[in-house]
Amino acid sequence: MRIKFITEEGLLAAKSNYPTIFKEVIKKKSADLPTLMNDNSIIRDSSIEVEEFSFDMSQDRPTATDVENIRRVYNHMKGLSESQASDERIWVAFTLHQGLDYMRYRWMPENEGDKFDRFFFKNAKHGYSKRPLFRNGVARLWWIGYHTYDAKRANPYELTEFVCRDQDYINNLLDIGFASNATISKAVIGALLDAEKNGVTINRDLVRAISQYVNLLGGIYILDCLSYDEIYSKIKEKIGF
Amino acid sequence: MLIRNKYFPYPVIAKGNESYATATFTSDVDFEKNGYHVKFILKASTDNEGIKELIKSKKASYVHHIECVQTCYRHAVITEEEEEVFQIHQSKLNGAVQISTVIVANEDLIGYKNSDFSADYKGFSFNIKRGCLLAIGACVEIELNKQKDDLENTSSIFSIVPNLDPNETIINVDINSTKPKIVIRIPVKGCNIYKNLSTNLELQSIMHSMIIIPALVQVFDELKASRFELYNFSDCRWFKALTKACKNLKVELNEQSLENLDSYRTAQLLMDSPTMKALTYLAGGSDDED
Repeated sequence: MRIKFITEEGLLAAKSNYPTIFKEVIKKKSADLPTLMNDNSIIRDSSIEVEEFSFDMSQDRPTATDVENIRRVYNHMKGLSESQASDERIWVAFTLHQGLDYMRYRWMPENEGDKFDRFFFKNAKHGYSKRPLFRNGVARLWWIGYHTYDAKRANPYELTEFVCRDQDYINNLLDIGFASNATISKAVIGALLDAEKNGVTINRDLVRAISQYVNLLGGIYILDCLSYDEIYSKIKEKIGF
Repeated sequence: MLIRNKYFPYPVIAKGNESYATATFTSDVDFEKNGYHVKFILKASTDNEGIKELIKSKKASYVHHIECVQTCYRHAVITEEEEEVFQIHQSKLNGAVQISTVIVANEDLIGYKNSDFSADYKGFSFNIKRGCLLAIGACVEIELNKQKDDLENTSSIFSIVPNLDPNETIINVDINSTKPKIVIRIPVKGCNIYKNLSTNLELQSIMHSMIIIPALVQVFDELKASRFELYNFSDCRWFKALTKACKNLKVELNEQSLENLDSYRTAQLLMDSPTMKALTYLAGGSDDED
């Protein structure tokens, strides 16, 4: 299948009409987006070809499907460039069209003001931010996969499984400045994972403390100049395992 | 990543930092597009002999830290050369790219001292760990806007969209610094009529007079009210396009000139006086009549 995208005009129109889209498209499913917007060309095919896939919606607890859906989205769409994957138009075509059933299952808004940032990119007031990549309901699946997939591991999604245990882990380990460097983020998550294997209890407090510690290190060192092993050792020493 | 000068427990060459007596560290970045690649020409140099010697012996390096927040790209170019060319595929970057240049220790420097230490540090030596900063240069921000710049015409800074709320009867304008265009929301029935009529070029001046001019007046009024905080709009595509269009009229969108700006007049000039054309058309004349 070809990856779809919403036109720029269509995106602005959809963002400006979220309350109606919530009522008619998301909640009642009385119309699909092109019908509601009276524009059949609002969703278009891009030139990017990927193998067809569906979302996992098999669990009673939707969060339990996160890892599997990251696998599906990232495995099938690994070919996207970073620039394409940061394009809101692709992800909104998913959240409001192809992936609407998944979004209703995983991120059903309670009212017309709820979960706007799960369906669209809520942009930073000033400048650029990577936060929308980790908030949009489908973009986040790709970007968590992108940051945590590690082909060198027996289970390439081992780090993914770790961060997906708690949304707070994602915020503190991925949606943060240092995480854009894969060497740093993989060393940090890898050290936490190994700490657990060595009997350390991992919880939100520890993950937050480690995230703060890495930020602190970033004020002293240019972390990007250090190797995986050097960063791993510093975290290991801090946790004490 | 913006690397700021702050209080370091050892001497660092940086603007505003007086821990060295005379040493300077300068850096600069040029860039050019090369097919599907972006080529960065990264420059750095210091006049401090001690630091130069460390770089020559690979105990320290120039580091150009490149970051594009929007695509989560972050990479350090580590080099001993004063000029280094770094090429990257454009698919890795989009929007603003920040490049900070520093000098970093490549290995633990035990008992580091420098003959140019300022009086406060004269005679002292320091243990500096691998990865720590020795000098801070410039932070350069480059805007790589790959999105098609379709905002050359003033009217195209607007996006006219239907307002799907069936109870809405008025047109409203959404002037938002986080959106690439100014959004004019027209109740759905009116929007359909507008979309049909706007394809007729003869009616364009009427459409512009009715819809665009009032919106543009509101935009200028909003900018006048926010003239002390124009930086809020500086990244936004519609504001950049509007600034460019206004420049052609010799109107600057800055704090001083906005204060006394005549919104209605400027809006008409920018749109090439559509109201007069519209009146002429409605009176049965031609646009070309004088």
